[in-house]
Amino acid sequence: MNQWLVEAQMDMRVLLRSPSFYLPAFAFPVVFYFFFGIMVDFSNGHSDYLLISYACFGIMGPPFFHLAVSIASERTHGWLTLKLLSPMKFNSFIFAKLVNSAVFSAVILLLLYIESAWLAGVRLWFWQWGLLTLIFTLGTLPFAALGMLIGALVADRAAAGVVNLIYLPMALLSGLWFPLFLMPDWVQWVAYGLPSYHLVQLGYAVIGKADEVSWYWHIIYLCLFSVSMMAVLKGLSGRFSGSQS
Amino acid sequence: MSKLPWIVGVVVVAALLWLLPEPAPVEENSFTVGPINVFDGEKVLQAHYVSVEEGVIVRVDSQPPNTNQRVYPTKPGQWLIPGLIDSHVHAWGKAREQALDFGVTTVIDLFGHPSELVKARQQRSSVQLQQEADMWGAGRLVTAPQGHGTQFGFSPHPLADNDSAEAAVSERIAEGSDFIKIVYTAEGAAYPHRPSISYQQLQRVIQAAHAQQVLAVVHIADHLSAEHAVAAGADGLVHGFFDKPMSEELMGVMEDSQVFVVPTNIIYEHLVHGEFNTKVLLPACGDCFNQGNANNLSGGGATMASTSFYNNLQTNTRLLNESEIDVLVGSDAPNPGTAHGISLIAELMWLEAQDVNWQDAINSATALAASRWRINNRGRLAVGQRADIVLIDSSPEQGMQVLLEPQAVWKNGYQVR
Repeated sequence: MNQWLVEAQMDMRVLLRSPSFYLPAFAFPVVFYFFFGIMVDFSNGHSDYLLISYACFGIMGPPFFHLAVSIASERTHGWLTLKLLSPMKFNSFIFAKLVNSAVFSAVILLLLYIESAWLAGVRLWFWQWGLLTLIFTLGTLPFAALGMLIGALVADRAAAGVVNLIYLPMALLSGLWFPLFLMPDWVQWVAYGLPSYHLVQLGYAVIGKADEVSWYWHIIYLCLFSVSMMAVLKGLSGRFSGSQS
Repeated sequence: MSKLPWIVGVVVVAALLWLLPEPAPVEENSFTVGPINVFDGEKVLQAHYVSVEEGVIVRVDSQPPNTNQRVYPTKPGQWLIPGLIDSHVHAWGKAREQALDFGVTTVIDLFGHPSELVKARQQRSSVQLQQEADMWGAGRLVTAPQGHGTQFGFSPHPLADNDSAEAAVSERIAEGSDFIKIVYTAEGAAYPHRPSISYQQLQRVIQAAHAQQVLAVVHIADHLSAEHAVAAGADGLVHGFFDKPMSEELMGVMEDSQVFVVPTNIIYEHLVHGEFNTKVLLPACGDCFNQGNANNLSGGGATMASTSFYNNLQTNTRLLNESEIDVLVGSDAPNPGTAHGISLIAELMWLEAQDVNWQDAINSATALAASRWRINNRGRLAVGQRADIVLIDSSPEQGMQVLLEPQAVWKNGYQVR
């Protein structure tokens, strides 16, 4: 267990020394929510609804970028091969990145909560704040899995660009920036296939504003998506050890 | 390496969550209100106490209950009426919240995005605290390609041919529509409109709706289209008209076939005269309505100013009042000249100004509306009904403007205003 914590703390130290990673990750959802949820008020007074949309948008960033960019970088430069030659377990390497992505996501959530309570008058019960935190912290997993897949497949210099190509359209098509009903009907069908849509629906369910699909179907989808990603990654395990490039 | 930073992190997150603000605590949705005058939606009762248990009316009696229930204090001269039903709105954003400000606890949405329908259905089946009026809705409306309704940003259901009528109805019901709304303008109608479906299509859609046991209501805006809609078997007309006075023939057919009408007088008055809001409603309201939001009520009226149209509007209100036709009260908010909640009161004040009896007027916005829209447990103050209740300071007989400032509004038994 000690080794896992050491790896997580070392990884955290690296992240904390990279303001170019965490400052945009914190700022984007907070600023977007301020403009679209408070100043312009696209929500027409439903600030709690948009809080959840932007919370989902915010927590997708750290696992996407951290897993994809750092794995691509460490793999491309051979650090991952070196680490795998050491007594360190590969799982502890992944665990560290998962945990730290969740930690950064939790910080984003807290910033959004404080912003929404202070500036938009959002009032939720303690159990709702807590459940949202739990859902969105655990909800980083599917995006971490997708980030790992990107990290395993693309070169380090391309990783951030590829993440943006997936992250931003995924947020838009899941209705995280604008309600889905303002978009063409076909977007809704695309949304059903995206993990971000299912995660945000779980969040909406906490405040009683989810779609008509039962919450457990969203959980089942998210689990299946994560497991499928992991299965694909297992098939690509050679790329982590450097046996494939 | 220590586990301490992780433990401290978790404790800090939990502490911050605990410090985040919670909603204001609400009182239980069980209480008795009285002694007070009661209009139950149909008539004045000889009862003076209304008791509510968990959001449902359980007792209406002349004597106070024996139980130690919380009693809501009242003042002499105050009245209870059922929560009001606005029979024609387009509800999105804060609409249903604003409706509650004026005691409107149920709205009939006659063209809205279907994504709202399922949520509204779940919401209205619950007696939990909610800061919104309940909603029954038509969802997408059925119209012609390029017809009325296609200009609003999300798609209605344009009928291209006769054979798609049944599909239009089935799809609406599958999406959660509570009834079918059809847009129709007869060829040669006096009031120009966008392209319309044909009379045969209108008939087919109405028949398909009836085959599936749902109401078919029709948007018309002129006398001839109203005649066609009634002849085609419509259950209701969701607008009146002002191009001519209602003919005896039309009134006779509507009475015989029990077709109801939602005249939406205020939006028409705004169109052809444009003075009711500025000279009657807003002065009576004072500061009951955010003046910053009053532009929609006061600005841009009389774009079709015409003395004869205005006279026809008044005449039709009188003729409907003298007839046996069921008239429901609807505002068509938030179209020009209207706003959610307050414009339903404006409709009631319009009826009052045309000498409609106050009990008939309130009945049109409560029990009659619930009955005609097939809503079982709304619109009346009676045992078993949802505790959607409005407390006002005096009898509406002394002036409908008392409804502009309800002293309390209960939704599901919770005092929400």
